[in-house]
Amino acid sequence: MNDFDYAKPVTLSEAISTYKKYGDKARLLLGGTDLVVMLDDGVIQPDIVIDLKGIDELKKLEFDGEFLHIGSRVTFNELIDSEVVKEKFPVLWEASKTVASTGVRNRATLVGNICSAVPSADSAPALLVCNAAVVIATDSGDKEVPITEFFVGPRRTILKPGEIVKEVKIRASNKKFGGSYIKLGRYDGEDLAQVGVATVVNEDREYAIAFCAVAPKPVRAKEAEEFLKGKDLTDEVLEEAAKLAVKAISPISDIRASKEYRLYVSGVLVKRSLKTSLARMNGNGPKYGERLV
Amino acid sequence: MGEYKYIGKSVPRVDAAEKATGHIKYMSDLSFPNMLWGKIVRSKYPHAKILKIDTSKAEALPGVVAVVTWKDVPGLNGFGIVVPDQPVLCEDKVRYIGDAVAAVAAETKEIAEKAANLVEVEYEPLPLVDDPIKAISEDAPKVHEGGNVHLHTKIVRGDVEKAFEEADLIVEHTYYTGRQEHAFLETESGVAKLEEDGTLSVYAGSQYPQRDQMQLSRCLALNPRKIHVVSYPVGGAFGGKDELTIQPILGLLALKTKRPVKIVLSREESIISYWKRHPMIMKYKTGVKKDGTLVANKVEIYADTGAYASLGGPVLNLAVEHACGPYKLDNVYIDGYCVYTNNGVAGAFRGFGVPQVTFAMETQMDIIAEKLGIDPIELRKKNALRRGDVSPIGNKLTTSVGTVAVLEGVKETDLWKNKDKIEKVDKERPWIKRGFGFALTYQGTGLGIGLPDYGGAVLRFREDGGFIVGVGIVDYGQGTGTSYAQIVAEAMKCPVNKVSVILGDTDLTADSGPTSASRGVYTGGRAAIIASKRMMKILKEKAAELLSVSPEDLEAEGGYFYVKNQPDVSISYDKIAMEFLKTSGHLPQTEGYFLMPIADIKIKDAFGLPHHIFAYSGHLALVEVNTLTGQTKVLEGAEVVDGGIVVNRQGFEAQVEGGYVMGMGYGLMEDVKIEKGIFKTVNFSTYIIPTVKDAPKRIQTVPVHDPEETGPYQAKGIAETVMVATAPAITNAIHSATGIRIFKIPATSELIYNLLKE
Repeated sequence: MNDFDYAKPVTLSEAISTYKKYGDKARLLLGGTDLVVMLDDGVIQPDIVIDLKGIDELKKLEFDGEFLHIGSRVTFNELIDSEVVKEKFPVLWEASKTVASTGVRNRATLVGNICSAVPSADSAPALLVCNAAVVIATDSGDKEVPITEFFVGPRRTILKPGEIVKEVKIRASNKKFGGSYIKLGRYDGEDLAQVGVATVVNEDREYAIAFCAVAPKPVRAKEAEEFLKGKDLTDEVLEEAAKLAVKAISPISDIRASKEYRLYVSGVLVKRSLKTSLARMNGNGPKYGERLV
Repeated sequence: MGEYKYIGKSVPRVDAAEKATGHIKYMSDLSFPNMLWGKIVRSKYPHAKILKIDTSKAEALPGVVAVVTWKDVPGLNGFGIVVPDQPVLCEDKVRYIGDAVAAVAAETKEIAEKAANLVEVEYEPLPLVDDPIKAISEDAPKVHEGGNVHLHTKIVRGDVEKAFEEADLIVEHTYYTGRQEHAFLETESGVAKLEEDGTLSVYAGSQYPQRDQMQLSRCLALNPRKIHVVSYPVGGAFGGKDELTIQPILGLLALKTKRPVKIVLSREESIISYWKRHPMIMKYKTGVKKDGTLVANKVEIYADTGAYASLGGPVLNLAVEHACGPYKLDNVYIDGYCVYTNNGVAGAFRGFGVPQVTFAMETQMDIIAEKLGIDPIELRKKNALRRGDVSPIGNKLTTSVGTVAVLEGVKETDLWKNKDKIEKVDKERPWIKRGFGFALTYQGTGLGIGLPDYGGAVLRFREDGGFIVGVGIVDYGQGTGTSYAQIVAEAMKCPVNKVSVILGDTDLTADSGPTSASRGVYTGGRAAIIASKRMMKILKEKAAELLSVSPEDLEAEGGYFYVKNQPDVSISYDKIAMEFLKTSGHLPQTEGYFLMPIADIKIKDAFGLPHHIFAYSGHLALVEVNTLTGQTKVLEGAEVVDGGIVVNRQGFEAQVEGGYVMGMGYGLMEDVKIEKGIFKTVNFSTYIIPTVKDAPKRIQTVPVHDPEETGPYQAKGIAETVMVATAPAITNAIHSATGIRIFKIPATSELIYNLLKE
């Protein structure tokens, strides 16, 4: 680990100006579950670490009747403990429970998870199928970006030095719906996903499908969604949907799984997830948070 | 059994409180005034010539106190329990990616790390040796000048070819096993410190302080009496701290700087630099009669020992010895090779070569049972060795043989009794298939034949009437220390809490050999009983003198001597202690030493073989396999273990459960991946071991025994056998669930998916 300066601003504008001053020599700290590991390994060697945990407004976790606002300091365990998240945003709730371990979730934040932008980010597929938006604070005011445009590549987002994610915003669905997130790891212990799949279906037979860990960035499977629109999930339809869905991904082989296994199992999981989502919408599926494979 | 007061009971660990409260100081917790931090510079290539080592930039860095290279090694620049072929610091060649080339001592950890990066080493890469079978051929590049075959052991009995002709069924398969990491909680860490009188104190968790002392004296050219090794407490070892690790480098840095020096390895450095379980390739051909009688076994074993010998040779020989399982076989041909490669280093690891061959042999047995339509327990019972039989490698078994006790015990487990009630296919989730599997194994206790194998204990009488027992054996989590306290309490007729235990210290304990080979309880325990008997005689005589009776009239109980039939005429141990101090000014001390019993014959050309005493165990598994993803979940496990009389019942349960889960990791997920000599899984993000979420909901632990009269209170030892046959029990269960055969472990989801696809 190299030496670096440490700043703990108490306002967002202060944080932004420090960040602007140091540019790409600065790193932002929230839970630190990714950052500190990278610092320790020497993978990153910033001149300054700006700790955002002193900024009160980032602690917000509230539902205003239309939108859920998840401030960047909100941890995964705070999401899991939130009744409104569990009730109105159950896919995000289910995905949050698969992130690492209790100890990590006590510190790790959802915003930190998407800003790290690892291809296997567990929160990303859920945010993608919920059409979340990312609110970014800059020195010229806030801007809002759809989550689909947020990720650029492995560990890369659209964020520029001086831009700080303030919150993630999700509109509550006013339709009857069901959803699910399935994470496949090498074992039941804490692991990065080999494949992660989230799906949502609503009463109008509109579908959303998203993956993590099987492409350079978390992706939606638009072609499969279009194909499914208005259809019932017969076995034939599911088969075809799975085929189209895996066209959206481009997995690699690594220590956790081969490309071939990831492609195959993505197809399996997308079918499981769609079936589960439909069953949940109809009130006869497994409870959210239950083991689905 | 019933007459024991402390043996066989559940006794809390003697170190439970200090461990639970965090008060215990491990070697990585030690700190001394004026202490420096050390950092080791390791090879950047798996196989290369060293052209030049330039330490000038590192030395120039402010805060650096010393930089050492091979030139600074005052004695033999080599260590290794069997052959000292591993340089303390490499001079002209590196043989694996973790090879140590130089080391730095600096004022802070950060400066030491920075300085290590400033040591410039010029290499000329050499051709890589990474395939143990190819490495054997004459024209392969050589890891060591003497050739790549470190050890070739061949045992031939009877005539396998003729027996195969007479067999009704021949089962022939090739098996592969993974490179398991010990994954102890505490990495290789410690402090070396030069004392005012010139003694070098080395505090580093290990498994045999007296041997560390010997090896260190050789490397550092110091009189062994000038080296004080403290190797306890240790945060886990499992065989991975049997050999020296960082100690010689710590010693060098402390001698050169004349200041205390501390090294704590990161997990990454630990995984890359030190020992692993040998991956093995094993070709098996087994012949059997229609009625299930085994007639011949032909086995070829290739063990990848990596860059240096360490205990690779003995590991191979244990694999050879146990290759046929605990079965009667008169025609065997076992041909084993222990081969040098540039794939890291392999060495001692719980089971010591036996988990590999047990996976192979017990899969063979499962295939035979299936093909012949014989119940797997009955097949094993038909062939099982019994006391008085001759083992496959030719020695007569005259000690306890627990095969039948184990097999009978297996039938009493809940898993076995309910195995036919298993819902083979889940009704709700028809892609989930369930199956039951079984495997049997055995494990030699002690070092075998030809090696000095002894136990030693020193027993001191305390002024409060209690005792201190000092044994060189180390308790690195297995609970040996508590067993010694129970054994001394039993022998000295006093409460367990009146016995304190000192372990792993060259100054304070008796040399009791290495803490390995499931020998801790047997050796230290038996020596403690001998020392206790001597102590008892001394105390009894004193008590008799004080009570004015004859020693024969006295009985001991609960820390008192009393006159038989006159329990009110008594004297307590603490009073006796006081009398000793009053009359002679000192308290008595006794010692106990003995030699391990050995077998009747030596096996020709197989150093160390045979063993004389064995532990036996049967492992059971109920698994479910997700046929869509290939994932396997072990729902429930059971083990029936003959390790002799159990000393500590709760220790037994903990060790069996731990062994089972470790064996499960070996069978399903653990493998240190090395590609072209480079490690791909260097931490617990990439290298996975089972967690509490993966462990079966229940592991039934059943002790059985065939009495071993020579053991301390008839105990043998269970440390290794309890993990050895778990992997094949699980893979046999996967077969019973899905119909696929696993010939390679770990049986990952992906491997199972690929087999299901076929």
